Amino acid sequence: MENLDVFDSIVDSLDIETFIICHSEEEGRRIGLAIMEQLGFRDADIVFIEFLGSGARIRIRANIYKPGDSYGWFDSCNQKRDYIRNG
Amino acid sequence: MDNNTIRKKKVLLIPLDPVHDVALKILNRKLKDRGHKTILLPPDLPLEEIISRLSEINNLDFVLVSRTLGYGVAELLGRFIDMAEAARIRDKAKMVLGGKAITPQLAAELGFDKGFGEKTDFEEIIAYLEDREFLREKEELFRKKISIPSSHTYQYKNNRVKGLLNEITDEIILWSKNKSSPGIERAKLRERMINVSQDDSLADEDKVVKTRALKKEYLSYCDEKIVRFYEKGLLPEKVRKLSSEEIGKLNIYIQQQKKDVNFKKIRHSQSLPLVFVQYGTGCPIMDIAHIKTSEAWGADGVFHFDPSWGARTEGLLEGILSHEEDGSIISWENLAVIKSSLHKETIWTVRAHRGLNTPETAVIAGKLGADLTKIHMVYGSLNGGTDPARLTIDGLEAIKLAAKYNMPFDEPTNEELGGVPAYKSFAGLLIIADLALKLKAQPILKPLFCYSPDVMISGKMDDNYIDFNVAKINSLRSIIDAPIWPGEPIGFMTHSEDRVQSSLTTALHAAIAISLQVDAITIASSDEAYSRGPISLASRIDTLRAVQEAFRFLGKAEIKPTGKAREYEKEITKGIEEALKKVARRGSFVDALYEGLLGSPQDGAYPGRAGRGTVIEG
Repeated sequence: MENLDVFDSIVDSLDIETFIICHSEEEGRRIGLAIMEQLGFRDADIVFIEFLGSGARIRIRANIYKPGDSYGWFDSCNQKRDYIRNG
Repeated sequence: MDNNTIRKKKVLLIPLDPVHDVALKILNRKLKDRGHKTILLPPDLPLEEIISRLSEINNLDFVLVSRTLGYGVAELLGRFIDMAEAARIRDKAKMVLGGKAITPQLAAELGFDKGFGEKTDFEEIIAYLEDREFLREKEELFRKKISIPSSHTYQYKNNRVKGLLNEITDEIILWSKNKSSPGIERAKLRERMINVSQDDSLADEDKVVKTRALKKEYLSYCDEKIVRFYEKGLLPEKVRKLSSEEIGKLNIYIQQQKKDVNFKKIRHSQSLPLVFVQYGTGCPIMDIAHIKTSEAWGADGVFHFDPSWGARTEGLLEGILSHEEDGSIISWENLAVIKSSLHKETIWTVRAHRGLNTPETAVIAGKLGADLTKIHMVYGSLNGGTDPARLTIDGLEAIKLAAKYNMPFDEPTNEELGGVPAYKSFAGLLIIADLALKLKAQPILKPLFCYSPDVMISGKMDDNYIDFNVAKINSLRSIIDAPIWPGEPIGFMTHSEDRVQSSLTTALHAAIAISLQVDAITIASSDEAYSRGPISLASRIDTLRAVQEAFRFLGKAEIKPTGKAREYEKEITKGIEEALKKVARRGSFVDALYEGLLGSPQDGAYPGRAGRGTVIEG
C-alpha cells in the first residue's frame, strides 16, 4: 500500500462534511477552503454551506479527477486492486 | 418451478439464540405460505430438550438452526451436531445453520449440510429447501428490459381533444410536404454512410470511395466548425480525441466492468416506475463509470445528454471525443462505445429532440440499437433555441425515423421551467404525440414533476408538492391512455445543494410517481443544484439509494392528495382544450409557435433562432 497513491482510486472527487465553529457563513467558507488547502487539495469548492447558531454545516469537495482528465483509476484499476490485495 | 409441483417439506426451526429469532419467524411464515409443514421451537431451549423433541418427529426433511456467532457458540453448535448424530437425526434430516457471522465454510466445518449468512435472501434458503436453483435477484428477475408503451392502447378518452389534435396534426403533415432541411439531408447521408460501412458485399476500397463522396456532400450541409474538423482536423474548443492508448484501456475497462456485477433491486413490491438517470459528463470514460455504477445501484435505464452547443451546430463530429464541460458529444463512435458498455437489460435512450441534428441523431441512435429517443419540437423551438419551422420539419423526420427504427420516444415538456403554464406545455405535448401516432411511432408523455415558475406565481404549490403533480398526471390520463414518464428530473427546482435535502426531495417525488404508478421517472443526482463543477458519482448513488428507500417505504400504498388536485386537474384539462382550440383556429402549427400560442415571451418562451431560414422548399 505504501507505494500506492490511494487518491488514484477515487473516481472523481472527495467530499468532506463537517460542522465548523464560526461566526458567519463567509468565515465558514474561508475555513472550509483552508482545511482543504492544509490537506493538500489544490482544486476545492464549497458544495454546500448553511450557517446557523454556533457555526456552519459544510460540505467541501476536492476535485481529484474532472471529466476529460487522465484518470489514475482508469489507467490501471485492475492491477491496482491486485496490488492492494497482495500488499 | 411451479409451487404446486414442489414436494412439500417438513421443517423444524430451532432458534438457538436466546433473543434473535425474528429471522426464523419470518422464514417460518414464508415456508407456511408455500405449503410446507413447519414446527418452530421456542428460543433458547436446552440442547437436550431439542434433541428429545427432534427424536419424536417423524419424516423430518430439514432442521434449521439459527444462532448468532459469538464466544463459545462454535463449540455449542458442534455439540449440537454430535448429539444429533448420536440420536441418528442426521440420517433422516438435513441440518442447516444460519445467522449473523455464519459462513457456508464455517457451517460445513461444524458438520452442517448447509450454512447461510446474515445477508442471505430468504428466497435462497427456500430454494435450497425446495431443491431448486436459486435465481439470485439479478437480471433474471428484475432487470428485464421492457417496452414502455406496450401496456398502453393510445386510445383517446376525450373526444374534443382528439378532434382538435386531428385537425392540427393533419395541417402539420400537409405543411411538411416537399420540405426538407440541411439536418434532414445530413440524416439521409449519414444513413447511407452507415449502410456503406456495414455492407459486406463492398470491397474496402469501394467503401472508402463511396464514403468519401458521401462525406463531401455531407459537409456541404455543415457549419464551418464541422467542416474545419473534417478537412483540417481542428477540434472545437475544449474537445479532445481520446488517444488510441486510452481507447484500448477503455475497452478493457468495459469488459472488466461487465464481469460479476450484482445489481440492487430498486423497486420493492411494484414493477413500475422504471428509474432512469441521465449521463453526460463530457467524457465517455467517465460516462461509462457513471452508467455502470447507476446500473449496479438499480437504474433501469440511462440517457445520453449532449452539450448545448451541439444542438446549435449543423453537423456532427466523428471519433471518440471528450469534452471538458457538461454534455457528452454525439458522434457515432462515442455512442457506439457507450452502447458497448451497457448491460443487456439496460434501457438506453439518446436524446435527439431540440437542435439542428435531430434527424441525424435519430439515425445514429436507431442504427446503434438505442431503445428510445427523445423528440419534442415545441420545447426545442420555444426553449431549446431552434427555429420553430426548422425544428418542425426536422422533428417530423426524426419521428418517422423513430418509427422506422422501432424507438419509442419521449417528449419532455421542459418549457414549463421557463414559465410556460402546464396546460400550454401539455397542449404542445399532445400535438406531437398525436402526430407521432399518425406516423406510426410510439410517443411517451413526459410531464414535469417540478416547482415551476408558473406554480410559484399562482401559488398552486404553496401548501404541498403533491396536488398539482397528481393533477397533471390525472389530466393527461383523462385525455389519452399513453405511457407517462415524469421528468426531467423529477422534483425539478425543489433541489438544493444540501445532499440530504436533494436526495430526499427526489425520493419524495419518486414516492408520488410510484403511488400514481406512472411508467418511468428520471431522477437527478444529489448534485442537481450544484452548478460549479461536475456531478460526482457518489451523488448519483445518493439519490438511487434514496429512491429505493422511498419505494420500500411506500410499497403498494398510495399518497392521498387533497381535494385541490381534482380542481387543478379540471383546470389543466380545460386549459389544454382552450390552447388547442387557438392553435386549430390559427390554422398553422408553425405560426402558432412563432406567435406564442403554445408559450409566449410573457410566459418565458421565445421562438429559437438557430436554423432560421434553412427549411428547403420543393
